[in-house]
Amino acid sequence: MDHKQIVTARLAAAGVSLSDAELEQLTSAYASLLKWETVVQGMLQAETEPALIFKAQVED
Amino acid sequence: MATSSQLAYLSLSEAATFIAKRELSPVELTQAMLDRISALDPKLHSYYTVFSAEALAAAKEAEAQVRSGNYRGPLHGMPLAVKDIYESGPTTCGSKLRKDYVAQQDCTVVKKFKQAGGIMLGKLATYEFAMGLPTLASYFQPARNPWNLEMDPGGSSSGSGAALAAGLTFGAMGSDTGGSIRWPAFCCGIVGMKATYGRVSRAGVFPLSWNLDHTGPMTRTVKDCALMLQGCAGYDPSDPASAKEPVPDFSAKLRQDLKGMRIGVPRKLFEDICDKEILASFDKAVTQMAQLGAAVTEVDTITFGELWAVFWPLLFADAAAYHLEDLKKRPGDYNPDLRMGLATGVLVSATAYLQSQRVREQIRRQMLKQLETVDLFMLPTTGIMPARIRAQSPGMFLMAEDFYIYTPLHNLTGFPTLALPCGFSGAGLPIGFQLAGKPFDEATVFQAGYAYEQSTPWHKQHPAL
Repeated sequence: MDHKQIVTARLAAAGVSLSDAELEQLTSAYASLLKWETVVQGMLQAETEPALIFKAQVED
Repeated sequence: MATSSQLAYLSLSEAATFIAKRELSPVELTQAMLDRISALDPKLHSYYTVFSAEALAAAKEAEAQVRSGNYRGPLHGMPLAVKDIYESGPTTCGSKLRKDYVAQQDCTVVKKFKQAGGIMLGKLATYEFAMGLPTLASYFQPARNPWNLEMDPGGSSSGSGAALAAGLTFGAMGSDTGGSIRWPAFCCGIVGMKATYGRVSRAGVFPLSWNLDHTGPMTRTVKDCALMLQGCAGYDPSDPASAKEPVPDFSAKLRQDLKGMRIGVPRKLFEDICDKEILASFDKAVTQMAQLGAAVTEVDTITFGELWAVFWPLLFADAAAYHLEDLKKRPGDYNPDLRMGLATGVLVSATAYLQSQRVREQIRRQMLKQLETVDLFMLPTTGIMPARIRAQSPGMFLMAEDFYIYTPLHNLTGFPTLALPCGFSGAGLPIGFQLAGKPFDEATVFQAGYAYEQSTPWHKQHPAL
């Protein structure tokens, strides 16, 4: 599947309908999301745990 | 009697002093604000709703209380306003979806202001649901920048910034999920404090992102900002993120000098992607801080690309989770760019979201570690000047890779961050910078901001309207 097909399928699964022109824009946004996933993966340090984020913010 | 324009640009603290001494009547002050709103707001669009009758009634009550010796403090008899995502009467969120919604009760912050004797002037314009860029084609007209009516005042707390710069309120509340207090503060030449995550209640404030939403005051001076924060800070069991932290005197350190204060500048985030005029004004502000006695050093940080990569998936996914039902049933009632942003949130995978949360916590811990060697971080608010108000939606402008705004860093960290003016562009538009400090140490942030402000002329300049 190309990116536009993936975007269309995911939106449909969530019950969201957009115009063709908007789907084109979202396909570009989806490419940004994939690029950002790679960037975030590169920043990640193995020992970082996510579960305490909320608690830590409140109690620090 | 002073004219409305003479009263309009008193600072909140000056007006409070006059009220306390019974040299200025809350009724006179409120009427002056209402007159000025009537005269100027038709071209500024900073207010959606003005509570004229209620404000005058509250002002009369405040006046009677002050006259009888029951003065409550600096907000007593003070005309204030809140962004239209704070529940109090009509609360539209700047969206056709909620054009007829009327809150059944006041949000916690408005209750606190009223308890302190504050006079609620009305509800201020906002980007749609604190995110979606309004255009001339939007259901609600966009607020205008008082320094140039063709320009955007920044957002999403657009009406708060515009009303303060135009002298249409003495204090306002904004919300800040990625910079929505600090960006309009930059664009309008005013002061905004994104208080520490959990410091000010969000109960009754319409959410954009449960993880990133902060609330805080916007004013024309640093001292006013400290006074406003004093009036709204504190634990609130109605907000699950509210912090059980003691509320100190936020003005306590305003008169202390900056000798020995250590300021870190994270240049890697902005230096290569910042408008030259903004960077020049910022560098002068850094020099000024050093002249005031601070020790300024450069500190390591993430890149702008890394900031974008961590921040946007979190914001879009949280917003999409909240708005999903309306996005499915009434997509045409959203402004186009917000509709697109929410749809982007639907595309964020669960694993990508969690990885971003992990890296966000990593960034926060690294910066907490840095705060062992510096007291504050100092950086420009944004690297771009405000844009012209658009006739139509430009599409997804917020996540454009050249939308250089450095504010989201401290939505990720949750640190208290103050935005304040540091100059003007050649075109006469304000420029500003940010100071961020340790969690719940707003007082030190205000200390540094106040010292800078008092040594520069920027807060004394107002737009010609």
